[in-house]
Amino acid sequence: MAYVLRRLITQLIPVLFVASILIFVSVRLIPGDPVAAAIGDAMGGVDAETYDRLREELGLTRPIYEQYWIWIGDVLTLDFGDSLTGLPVTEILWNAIPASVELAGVAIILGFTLGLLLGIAAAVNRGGPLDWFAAGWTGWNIGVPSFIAGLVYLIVFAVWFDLFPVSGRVPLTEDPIEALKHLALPGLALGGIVAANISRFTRQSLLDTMTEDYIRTARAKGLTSTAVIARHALRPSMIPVVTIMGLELASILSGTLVIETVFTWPGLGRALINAVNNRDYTVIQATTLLLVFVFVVVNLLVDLAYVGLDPRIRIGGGSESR
Amino acid sequence: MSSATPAGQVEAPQLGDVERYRFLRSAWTEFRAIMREPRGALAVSVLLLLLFFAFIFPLLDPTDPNRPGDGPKNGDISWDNPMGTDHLSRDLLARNSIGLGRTIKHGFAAVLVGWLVGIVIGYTAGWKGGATDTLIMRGVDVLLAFPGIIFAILLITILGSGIFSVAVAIAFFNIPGSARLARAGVLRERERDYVLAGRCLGLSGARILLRHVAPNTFGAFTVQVPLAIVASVLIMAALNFLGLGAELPDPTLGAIMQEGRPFMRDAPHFVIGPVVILALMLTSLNFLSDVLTERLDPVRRRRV
Repeated sequence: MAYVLRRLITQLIPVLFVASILIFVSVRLIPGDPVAAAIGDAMGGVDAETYDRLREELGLTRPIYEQYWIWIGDVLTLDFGDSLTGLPVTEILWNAIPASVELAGVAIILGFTLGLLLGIAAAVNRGGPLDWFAAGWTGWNIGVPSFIAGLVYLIVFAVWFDLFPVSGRVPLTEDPIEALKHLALPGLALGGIVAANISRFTRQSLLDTMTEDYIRTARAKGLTSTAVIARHALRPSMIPVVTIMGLELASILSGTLVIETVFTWPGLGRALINAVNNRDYTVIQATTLLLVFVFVVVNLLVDLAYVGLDPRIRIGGGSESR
Repeated sequence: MSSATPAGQVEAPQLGDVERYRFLRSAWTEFRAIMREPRGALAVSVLLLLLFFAFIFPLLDPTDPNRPGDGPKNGDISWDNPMGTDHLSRDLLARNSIGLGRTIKHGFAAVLVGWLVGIVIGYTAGWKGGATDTLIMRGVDVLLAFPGIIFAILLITILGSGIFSVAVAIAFFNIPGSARLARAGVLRERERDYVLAGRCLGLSGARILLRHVAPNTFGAFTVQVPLAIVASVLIMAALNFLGLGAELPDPTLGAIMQEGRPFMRDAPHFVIGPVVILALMLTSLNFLSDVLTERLDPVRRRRV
């Protein structure tokens, strides 16, 4: 518990604080007049009086730290203001979050289960066909980034074989079968890379563990090799794998940003890119802040999981460098 | 001690020359060793082929990549257009060639700038130590806490979209990793005897750092730089694919993919071209870095 608190105070909060300042300042640094941006170019010139009133309303006459204070207060009460389209930003976020969570969830489930199974199979079947398959899968996914893989899957499975739709999303609650069909290719593109990395580490870690003395002891007392692997080898060899899983979570998060554009998936990534293209700054601020928040929290949770697996870290105090 | 003897003055540059010569020779030996590995030879050949396609081919081929041709729109592969044509009936072979060239030029320049800045930062932090070190490395930690692509998107929002903004974002993306690596190298070397010897000889701190410590930190870079290039080219293609590096009508590989995405069903060749080129480039760079890693790490070489 003390460890959790320490991590919260020394890492999570400072990083979020600096991130919020960066995001706030970055939008202020954009060349151009925020008043003009707020009323839109179409309205053309406004008279000086209206202009001043708008500046006042937008809070631009106050000093910058006061503006930040007001903004962060709004953010903490989940009020991100209105987007250029007139919709409240929170509404845009609420519409986009389920799609992103769904996609990330499928990618995580697919990536983790496939990665673990493939890694264990490759280690047990070292040099055999499964090992070669795992190596090929890893080579393909590490050589080719997820969004390129996504385009390739689209060409092969959606265009040539016509098995899956080319784009779009159907909510899981409306039509589960159709929803899964839409999810399959983006999920594979995102999860494939995760599975590749995890299987590689699982294989290596398991092979390393298998050389330990206690494994020889377990074998010597007559356990079957299944029992040796399941009962004795798997748990200790999971420690490096969990670290990798954490890193993979982060990569899924940034991966969704691009994959969503490849598959025109209406998630946070699409929302962010649309906002950047439309110069919709309130949406940019909100989405980036949300994504950084998730990213940092996920990293913290991963570290905590790591502590759970390896008590030495808790006793030895926080790890200075990861 | 400060009044160096003539002999000492003559000796130092000679030593430097020998070191430089040895470095060149070891680079040549290294290159030959890479070429002896099948994967290394394959990677180097593919990369040379891609360089030829990006930089020599446009000189031989007179087709203007931005001028709409007489051929059909989204035309299939033909003798006139070996990679087909795009939605404005421009020749995709010429566009991919120019696009690859722009991707390589900007990508490499960005990696170079990012690494130079990162290395300077890392050397400063590691050499000075104390409060400077803490301050710099906290900043680097915050940069690392940001997902790279979000940071890039924020930067591009500030700078406005365009290939230059994308390059700046890539440069920033490379700073934390290179700074950490450089700092680690300096910290490791700082306490060695030869540094003490240098100080005893009255050499300035900068001279010891740049002439004697720095070369000993380069080993770790040779493995990481190809990986950094892979990651940077990838992010660059992704940002261009998202339309953030657009400077129409000039193509980049990512931009061609973005243009081709809506025509996926009718004209898959449009997207396949840049996809294949990028995949070839990234895979070869990965192979190259694998071979380099294995050469530097005999333990891993045995295990694989």
